[in-house]
Amino acid sequence: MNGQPSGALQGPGATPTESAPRHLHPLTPLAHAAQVIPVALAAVVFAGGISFATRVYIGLAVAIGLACLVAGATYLQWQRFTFFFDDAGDLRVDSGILQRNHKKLQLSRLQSVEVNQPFWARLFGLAELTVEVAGAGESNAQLRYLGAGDAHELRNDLLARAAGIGSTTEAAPETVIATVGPGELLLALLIRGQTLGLFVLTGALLTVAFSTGGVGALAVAAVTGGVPVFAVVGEFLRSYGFTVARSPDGLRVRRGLTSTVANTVPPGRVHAVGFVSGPVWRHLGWVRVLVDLGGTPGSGDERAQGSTVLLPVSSWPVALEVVRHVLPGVDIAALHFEGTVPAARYRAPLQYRRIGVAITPQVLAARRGWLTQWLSVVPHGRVQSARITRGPWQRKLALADLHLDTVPGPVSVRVPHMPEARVRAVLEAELDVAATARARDDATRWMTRRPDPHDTAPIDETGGRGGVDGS
Amino acid sequence: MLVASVVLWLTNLTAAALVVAPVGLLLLAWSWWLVGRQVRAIGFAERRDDLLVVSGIMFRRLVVVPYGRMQLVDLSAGPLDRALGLSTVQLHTAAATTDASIPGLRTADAAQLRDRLAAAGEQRSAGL
Repeated sequence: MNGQPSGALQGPGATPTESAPRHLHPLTPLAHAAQVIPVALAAVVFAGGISFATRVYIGLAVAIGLACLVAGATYLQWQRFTFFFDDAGDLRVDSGILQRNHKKLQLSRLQSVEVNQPFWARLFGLAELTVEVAGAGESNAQLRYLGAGDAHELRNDLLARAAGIGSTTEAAPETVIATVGPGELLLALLIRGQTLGLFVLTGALLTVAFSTGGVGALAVAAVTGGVPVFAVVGEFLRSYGFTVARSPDGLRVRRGLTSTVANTVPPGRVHAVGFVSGPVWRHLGWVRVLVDLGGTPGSGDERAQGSTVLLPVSSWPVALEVVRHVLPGVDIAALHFEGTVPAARYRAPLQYRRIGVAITPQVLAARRGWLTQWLSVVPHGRVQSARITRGPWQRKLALADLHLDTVPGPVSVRVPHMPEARVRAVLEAELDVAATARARDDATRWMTRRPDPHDTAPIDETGGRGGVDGS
Repeated sequence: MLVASVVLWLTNLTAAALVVAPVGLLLLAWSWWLVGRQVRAIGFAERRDDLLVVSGIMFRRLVVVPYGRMQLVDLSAGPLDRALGLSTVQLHTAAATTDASIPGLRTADAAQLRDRLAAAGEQRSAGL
């Protein structure tokens, strides 16, 4: 963190005062304009038609013209865009040229603060800050762009204010608990079941194409070979340099090669944790850790998809260490799973041995899957609703599926093919503990809540650092 | 099917119409019976801390929504529903997968149920 202790440090309990309105970074219009140039240029140059040199000249002219337009428009926006902290300590964002928009973000409901550096902003040393508070729809504000240093200072300030410890620009101390090296990441992505499967298929198609001289197979091979390459490259760029660090205000996740992302996951925001391992990874003891997060922006947002990955790949011990911080007091390695009845093999011959459910005072854990194995963990207080479903074949065997619904995300908590009577008993028990867990749950202002031995433990600088290679 | 048989009869294909008509009648009777069964399979219970909804015959579902988790209670009625004086009550939680709806309630009953649910939810409301 490059946060400098520059701002006036207010002690806890100090009454916040209104701060002076601030503008975004003055280079903002240029950063926006620069993004237009390559697109416009490429569009004209690759359009074809007249001679190449002419196309380049026209392309340049169009690109510069467009860039000037964009720069002008964003300059006006920049002029009218200000943000400040009001006397209640909440973030206010005023924007809009003709139609003014005044936004108030209540920091007691803060869900996350992300500092991203998209490729173009990075060239100018700028960063984008996304502030998200609980609530549906337009519950976030994007400050595009701030200086990279300013963005980090403001992030620290927001987190400190939200945690109820006054205003400070100093970064909360943090300890790195897991890193994923580029080598491991690339290897892990390449040997993923679906990647290998598609590559084998491509190989077979190429063999067919060359031995028969057919062209049809070649086209299919281009798709089956291209898809995994794009998937691997995309994921590699997103997850490059993946670092998870522990800090008092939550887990800090940093990642990205061309665009960098830094987001903080407050402990109260994790609604479910899922461990996924495919057939190849399992033999190497590797696992991927996903989370369902409360207050994630609407689906289709690429960054949102990425931020539900807590670890793209890691060994089990490291994964458990990281998850220990988002699910305090839960020992996943010590869970004792209750399996299903032998009758389930007639409905699920492959996965029936893997099916299991474990209930501890804090969480319910569900295990399922044969080829790709899932272990989902949900804290009782986070269960939104529960469902039991039974198909005709399941009813013959007196089996049923139990589903626990959580906020939208990649993790689904499901215990398939358990004996009917047992499912009903688990459901009733779960509803009971969930009600008590909800009653004592307090996810906001997490720093001021009653002390939890796990959260307040002093941070040791030599703390467990590890990666896939570290074990 | 019945419409088809009328069309066939009008276009002087009486023989075909005579075959199609009984099949159409049978289908109508079967779906009448099936819909009746499906409607009877739908049920709900207001319990102390949660609402329980069951539905389905072949694929049976049971959904339990704790009152404290309800974010929104929806009351809706399409044109056909309105003509018959019916409404659907739907519960929403923060989870998109919840899907607890009770179709075919009398509108007055539905409104009462919604008010009861909303009151229960307010009492036991928790954060996310």
